[in-house]
Amino acid sequence: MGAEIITILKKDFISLFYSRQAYFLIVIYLVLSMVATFFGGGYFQIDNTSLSSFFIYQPELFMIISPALAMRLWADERRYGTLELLLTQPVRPLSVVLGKFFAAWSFCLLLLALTFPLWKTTSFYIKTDDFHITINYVCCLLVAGFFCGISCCISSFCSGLISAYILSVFFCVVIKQMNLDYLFKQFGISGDILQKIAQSINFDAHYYHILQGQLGINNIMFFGVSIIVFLWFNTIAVDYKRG
Amino acid sequence: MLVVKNLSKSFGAVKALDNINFCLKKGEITALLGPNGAGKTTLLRLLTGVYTPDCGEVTLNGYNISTEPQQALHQFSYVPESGSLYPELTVFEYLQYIAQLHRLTHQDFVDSLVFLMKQLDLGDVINQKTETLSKGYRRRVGIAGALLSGPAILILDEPTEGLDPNQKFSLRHFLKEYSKDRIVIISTHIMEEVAATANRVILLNKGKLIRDTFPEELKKISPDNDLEQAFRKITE
Repeated sequence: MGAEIITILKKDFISLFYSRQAYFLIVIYLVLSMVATFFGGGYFQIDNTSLSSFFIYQPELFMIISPALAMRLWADERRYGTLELLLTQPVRPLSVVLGKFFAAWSFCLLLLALTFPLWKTTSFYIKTDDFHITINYVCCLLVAGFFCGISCCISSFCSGLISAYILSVFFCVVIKQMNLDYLFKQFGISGDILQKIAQSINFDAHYYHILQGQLGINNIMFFGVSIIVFLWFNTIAVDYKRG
Repeated sequence: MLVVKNLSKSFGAVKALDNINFCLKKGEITALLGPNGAGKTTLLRLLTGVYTPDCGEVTLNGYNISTEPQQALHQFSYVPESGSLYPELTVFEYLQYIAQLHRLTHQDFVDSLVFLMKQLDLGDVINQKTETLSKGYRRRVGIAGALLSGPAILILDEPTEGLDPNQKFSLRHFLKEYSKDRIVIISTHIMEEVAATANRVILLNKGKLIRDTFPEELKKISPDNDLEQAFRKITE
């Protein structure tokens, strides 16, 4: 199964660079990251030992970048008519789903790696907390995986590139902003268990918890389990598409 | 052996296939015939596991495509009608990708590649991007991909579409040789193809199997001993 995943990952990762979309996304991501860091995050105004001005807006950026990556993975197979070919190869649907997901996630890793010069430049001027920054990068990678998972899942249900992108962004925004705790209070629903559930699936709570340097097993579990759930839905979608 | 039992498939209210039964053995080149909308492509998609049947079963060399898909998928190769390839890959990269999905060893891949390049005359385009290929070459690359693993069952949808007469002749000759110890299924509209290649004909019309016979027997239905007339007579 591992070999199948690597084969599909390699092919799909290279395919991203074929249409020049990858280069476009790299430029967009780096420009927006720097704008968000220097203007939105207040790079020169706040204490940047953990590079928080850079990490603060990363979820918003990956919310628009990940769907752009994932929309091609499944929609292109349909556009070129290769989905039928792929589904009749002796590979498990799960291997195809994982191969495509890891291709998108690897690209996000590349994007994050391209921002290392900011870290190095900052550490040249001030004493940075490198351990904290490393944790923040890991957190960002998990966030990127989270949004890639949602986007791959949505893309597998859609037949057009544009609809896949718009729906993916919509679901990424809804899931990120979902605050059940607030909703429960608005509807007068109370209870300790409900409150705990609401807090445990609150994206922002987990992300900002990690940004404060408090990476816990529950935070990793939240992102890990979410990715697994989205990929499971993705596998169901592929089976459903078989008709 | 390929066994199809009580196979049915509907799309909403439309019954695309209704209670199809047949059994194919080694050494047979079976032509799947039928007018447009007869259910040929649906049947091929059911045989290859792209669709799941509403009822009935397909077993390929003893493996049920619905319940044992992994083993069944190793038994056959399928060339869809669209002949779609990945435009970003060269012919070599495409064939290598397919070989890796089939988990062929490097040596097996090289041996198959050398053989298929000669058989299908792909030497000139091996390093060319597939999007730049002519329709005939695209078809041949698709067939080469299907043949890489030397499948026991080869399923081809409109195999000679886009090929010139020389290429058609050599592909038909190749398929006859290949089918000696394997099963080959071709879906086609071209009667000349049936006459030149097939030794068995399965005729579908409106989702039903209406004839399972030999091409010579089918010809006899027509007063002029002509396949095309016989086809028209049965399906009109």
